[in-house]
Amino acid sequence: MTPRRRGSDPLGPDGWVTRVLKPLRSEPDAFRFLIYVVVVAAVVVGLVLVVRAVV
Amino acid sequence: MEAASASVTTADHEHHGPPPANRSSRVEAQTLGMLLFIISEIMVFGAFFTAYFFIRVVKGDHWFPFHGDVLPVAVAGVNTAILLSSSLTMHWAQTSIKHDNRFGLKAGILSTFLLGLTFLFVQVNEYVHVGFSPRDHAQGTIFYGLTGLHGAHVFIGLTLLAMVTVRSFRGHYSSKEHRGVEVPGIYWHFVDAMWIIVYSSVYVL
Repeated sequence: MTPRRRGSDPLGPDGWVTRVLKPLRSEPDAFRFLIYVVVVAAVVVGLVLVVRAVV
Repeated sequence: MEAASASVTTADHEHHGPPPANRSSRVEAQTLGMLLFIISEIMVFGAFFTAYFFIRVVKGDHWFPFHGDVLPVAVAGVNTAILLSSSLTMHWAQTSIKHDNRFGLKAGILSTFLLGLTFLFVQVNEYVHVGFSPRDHAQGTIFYGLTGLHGAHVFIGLTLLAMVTVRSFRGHYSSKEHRGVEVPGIYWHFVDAMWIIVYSSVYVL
């Protein structure tokens, strides 16, 4: 069996913080995920409405 | 040697009940439970969205306005803003208790509960005035199915929030122990994110 990695280094090879969003594990991440959903939904709705208006 | 054996004997006598349960996950049991619950809920919503996409994409049927029935897009839009505001107050409550700000916790969680209740009230009011029933046409069935499923989730969320509100006013939770606020908060944000998808697809597109 491979031993489980306990604390992984949050710094990537280039020195930037590579933090994975875990919306089902912490409330701040869930809130951030909700904001992303709102932004993506607004973009998709906007694109579809523009395409409908043009076609 | 004798002292060591005496301390072991004392420790053995202090432990009552069965041995502690084995934990195979790094995630706490409460968070893991909510995580699995939300994953199963995503699948339930997925089943309802399958029916929606079947009607609109596979069959290519008309969506609302349909047979003279119109969806109240503006009212639902205001309701969406109310629900999004409730996520903001939920986040405020969680952030407050992390810093031992009891006023922020109580005000935030009470606001969240009241905003959620307002959302549900407007939703029920919309059903009363929308002018068609689930059995009038397939579009109506899917409309009531998706929004009703979401409404049921809001109701569950409000039940959780009611418990958190009561506990907050009784002085529970602290900066060290606030999982009781965090787990319902995760659920509430999930319910809000799901509404954004429901609102965009059912009302707007």
